[in-house]
Amino acid sequence: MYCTNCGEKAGESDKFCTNCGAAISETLEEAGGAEKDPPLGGESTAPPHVPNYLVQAILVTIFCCLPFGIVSIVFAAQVNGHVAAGDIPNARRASNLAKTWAWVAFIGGLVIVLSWVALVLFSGILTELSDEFGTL
Amino acid sequence: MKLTTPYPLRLGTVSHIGIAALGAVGIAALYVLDPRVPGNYPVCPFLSFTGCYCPGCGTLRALHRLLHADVVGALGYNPLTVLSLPFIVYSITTSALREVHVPVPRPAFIHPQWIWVLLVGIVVFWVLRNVPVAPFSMLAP
Repeated sequence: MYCTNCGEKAGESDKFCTNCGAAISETLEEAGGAEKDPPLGGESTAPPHVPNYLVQAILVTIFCCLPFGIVSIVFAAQVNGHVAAGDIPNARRASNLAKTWAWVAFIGGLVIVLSWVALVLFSGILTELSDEFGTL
Repeated sequence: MKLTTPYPLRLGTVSHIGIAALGAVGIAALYVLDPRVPGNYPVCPFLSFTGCYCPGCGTLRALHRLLHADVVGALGYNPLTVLSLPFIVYSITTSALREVHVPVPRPAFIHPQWIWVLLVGIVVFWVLRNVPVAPFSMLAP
């Protein structure tokens, strides 16, 4: 049995997909009890959805201003390229890399912005303190 | 089979609630505190260190203008942010709906070529808005 949301292999008794968390029995029923057990990595009529994290990649590229976001967009493009070619294992690999680099850019950007804000606030307090002591 | 068990509290659910809460606080703060007034917010570290505008520069001012229903002003501060905002909002909304198991149809498959076009577009926008000459300086925040 496969998750109809992300295409991850799931156990027969699983209620939720271990990869994306979608309710498996529910989605299967909605799909009209579609294909069961498609050949692994082979071409099936409906290729599984492989997330490309494009929105996250663009968000971190625009708003974190770090080159890692661009790396993430490159992998997002590769995900769709592999899916179009029917190469699902490589699409998954690119998908994981896109996710990883989006996180790297996000956390990197967050750390830089937070330490920058802390630095600005700290230097502001220092200036105020020195002004006060200057008048003494 | 009907779903009878309560939804398990997953990391995804927690992060969606967290993003919603942070977003609400951020929007309220941005509505009140004008980013055009120097000192209300720290200057972006990228601009401070490099002296260059990054593709996200002017986002705070653009969102502030949008919150005050000034679309033209918002486009002037950052057209990329304004144009990508509908897609970002759509993506976050559908992602949150899927989190509570509301089935949302996935958008049509994007041909990889368009993602490359988008990437080149962002980089070109990044470079051009730093060119201090007439038509390009319009892209500067």
